[in-house]
Parts: sequence; structure tokens; C-alpha cells
Amino acid sequence: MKLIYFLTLGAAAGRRQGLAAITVLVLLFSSAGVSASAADSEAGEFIRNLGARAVDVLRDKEGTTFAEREFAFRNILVDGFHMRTISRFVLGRYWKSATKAQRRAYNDVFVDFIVRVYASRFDSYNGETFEIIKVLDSDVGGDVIVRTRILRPSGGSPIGVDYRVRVIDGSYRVVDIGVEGISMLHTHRIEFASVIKRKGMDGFLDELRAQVKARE
Amino acid sequence: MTIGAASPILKRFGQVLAMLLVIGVTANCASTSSPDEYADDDYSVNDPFEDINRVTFEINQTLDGLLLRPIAEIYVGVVPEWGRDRINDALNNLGEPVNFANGLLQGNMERAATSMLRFAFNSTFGLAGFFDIADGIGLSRADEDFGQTLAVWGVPEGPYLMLPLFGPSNPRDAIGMGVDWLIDPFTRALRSHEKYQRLIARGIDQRSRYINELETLEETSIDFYAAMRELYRQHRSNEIRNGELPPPLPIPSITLEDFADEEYDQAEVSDGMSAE
Repeated sequence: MKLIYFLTLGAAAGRRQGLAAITVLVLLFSSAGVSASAADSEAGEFIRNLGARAVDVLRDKEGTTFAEREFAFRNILVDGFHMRTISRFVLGRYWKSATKAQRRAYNDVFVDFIVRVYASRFDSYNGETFEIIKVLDSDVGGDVIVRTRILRPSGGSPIGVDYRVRVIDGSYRVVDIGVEGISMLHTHRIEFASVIKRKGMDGFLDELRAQVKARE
Repeated sequence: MTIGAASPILKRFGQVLAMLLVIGVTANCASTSSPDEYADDDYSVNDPFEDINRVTFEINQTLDGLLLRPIAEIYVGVVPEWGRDRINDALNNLGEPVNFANGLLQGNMERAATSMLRFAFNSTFGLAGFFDIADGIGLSRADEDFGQTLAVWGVPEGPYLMLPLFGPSNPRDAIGMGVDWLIDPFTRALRSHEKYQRLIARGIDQRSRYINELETLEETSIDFYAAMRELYRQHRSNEIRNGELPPPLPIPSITLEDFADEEYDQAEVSDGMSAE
């Protein structure tokens, strides 16, 4: 995008300034190289901060209630993950066939459902630490994969967690999470589709709401 | 119903076997991941026997609740973690010859060598395998089974199968399990009651490691059967890839602009609150 802008600029500047345009291009290419790796380290830093927040919440388990930790987890989730993109992908093609009221009901319950599903899993951690193994460019436009692993205090085998990080509306957000190679988005998408096929859209929405209510 | 569904299943088995013969000769090394797997309109989970599978799943769940899970819980309650880790290490060590053979069959010399060295170190210095000392010197477990070998050879997974007692599978993995049993030197070396003792010990060992995980999953899924099926399929595909990154999901960004363009006005979904 920027490159095209500069090319146009260079052409407009005319032949006399051709050399200057080439210089600009060279500079642009070299800075593009720098910013690509900078993006990687920024994405890594973003995940590091998110992880540090999570570890902080779990550090003081005696001094907090589950409800408080769940609230903190919810904030981390909403700040770190692009829930709008995630919720749409997970519903997949059924978004198109849903009515306005169904879409609204789905959007209303989705984040609560995800909090319900993952807050207790999150809360079961105790003394775990995590480390970033490497940051990889993914082949999908601009996504960065941050490979991490959760180390268990007992010394059991670590759990590999991959975060797919993307810049949306100007900020870094996680759009998918892979646990030992298992995509959480794909898993929920298949599960949701299975329920919608068997019980219809309204039946599916009832199931989501029942799950949220089942939370103590 | 059962009989009607059994014949296509046998046909699939036949197809897979035939494919095996062809592939055994040509030994092609095609990649198993299809790029269409995640296409937007592709929800094909290849589960034509879903009705029967769901019944089998229910029976398995009942048996698990009555028998395996209570035994696993007692095991966890009685044997401290250290002891359970030693038993897990020993059982893993007995699996190394099969890992080695399948590493070779897949042409993956590095993993085959890893399994061989692990077996040598752990069986001796690791005191008959009770201590996984090889892991400490950078030789991490390289689990390979014949189901994975078939996948590396290009055999497709086939329809999802819920096996009685054994749980989630497919023709490729079911055949793999049988072949692994046959090529395992310990199948020959052990006396018949020892074979079953090893199998039962393995079952309890594995079940005891996932007590909380499976309980949480069951509690928090809206379709436990579908969730398990998907986890099994992705878990196997991760094992086949030996932990390399999966093909990326095409996840379209829903930007603020996209969101504003939609046909109804609606508050931020990320707040979890709606505008009335």
C-alpha cells in the first residue's frame, strides 16, 4: 500500500528527481524489512503481556474469589482476543441464514459462553509458567503465530499453545488459539454446526444460554 | 440399521486395505492435509455412522462412569503422583520398539533413532524404564504408531468410528492399532495374561491423566460427542504432523467498518452487552 503511494509520488516527481525516487524506494524497502521483524517482536511482546496478566491473576488465588478471577479473565479475553472476528468465524455459514433477532441473541451470549467454557479451565492452573518459543510469520496475510508453551510446576510434559495474532482496527488481537495443535475456533465451529443441524438455530441458542446459566 | 451400516464400513475397510497394498508397493509420501479442509462451506466431518457412533459413545460413557473412571480415581487417590509418573514412564518405555518401527516405516530416521536411543538408555540407566532419563538429555518421546504411518503413506483417515471400549477411531487408526499389536515384540515376549495386564494398566494410566480435563470438557460442551470427535481428529492430525503448525484457518477479520455495515445496528459484541 505504502509502496504504491511512493511509486506514484516518484513518477510524479519526474525524471530529474528519478534518482531521489529510487533512493526513497531503497529506503522504503529496507525499512519494510525492519518493520516486518519489528511486527514479530511486537506480537511476541503483546502475547508476553497478556500472559503476564494471566499469571498475575492466578498468583494470588487465596486472596481472591472465583468470581473476581473470572471477571479478570473476561477482561483479559476481551482486551486480547478479537471476539467479533472469532464469534463470526465460529458460527460460519449459519450467520448468513440467521434472522436479525437470532444474530443479536448470538452476539449477546457468545462472550458469556466463552467465559463459561474457559474460565474454569484457566482457573485450574496453579503455579504454571509460560515461555515464548518462537514467533513465526504465517502464510495468511499478515498473521503472526506466537508459539508458546505452558510449563507445569510438577515437571510434567509442557503444553504447547500457539496464538494467531493479527492487527485489526489498529491493535494487536488474538484471532485463534491452538492447544497442542488443536484449533479452538475450528473445534467450536464444528461443535456449533453439529448442534444447529440437530436442533435448529433457536435450539442452539437455547443450548448456549443454558451453558451460561449453568455457571454457579 | 446396524447391519445396513456394517456393509459400507466393511467396504471402506476393503478400500483402505487395497489402497495399502498399492501404496506399500509405490511407497508414495503424499501430504495428508487437504487445503479444502477449512473451506468456509466445508463442515464435512466424515461421520456417516453418526447415529450408531452416538449410541456406542453413550455405552462407552456409561461403562467409563461405572468402571474405568472410578478405578482411575482410586488409582490417583492411592498412588502418589511420583509413583504414577514412574508407571507411566515404564509403560511408555514398553512402547518404544513400536515407535522405532513406525519411525523407520515413515522414513523418519531421526525419530526412529530417537526411539531406539530412548529405549536403550531408559531400559538400562533408567532402571527398566521406570525413569525417563532420555528426556533429560534432549531425547523427547517420538510417539509413532501404524495409524500415523498409514497417514504418512497417504492413506486417508476414512469415516469416524466410535469403537466399543477403545473409543474414538477411524479405519486407518483401527487397522494401525491392530498392526501395532502384531509388530510389538512385547506381544510375543509376554505371556497372555501379562499382555492383558499391560493393556489394562495402560488404560488406567491414560484415563487417570485426563480425569479433570474430560470432566470439564463434558460439562462445558453443548455437544460432547461432536467436541470429542473434533478433538480426536485434530489431535491425530497434530501427531501425524509431529507437532508442526497446521494449515492456517482462513479467518476473515470483522473490522469496525464491516460491523457498522451490517444490516442491523448493534453494540460491540466484545462488550458482551447489547443495545436494545
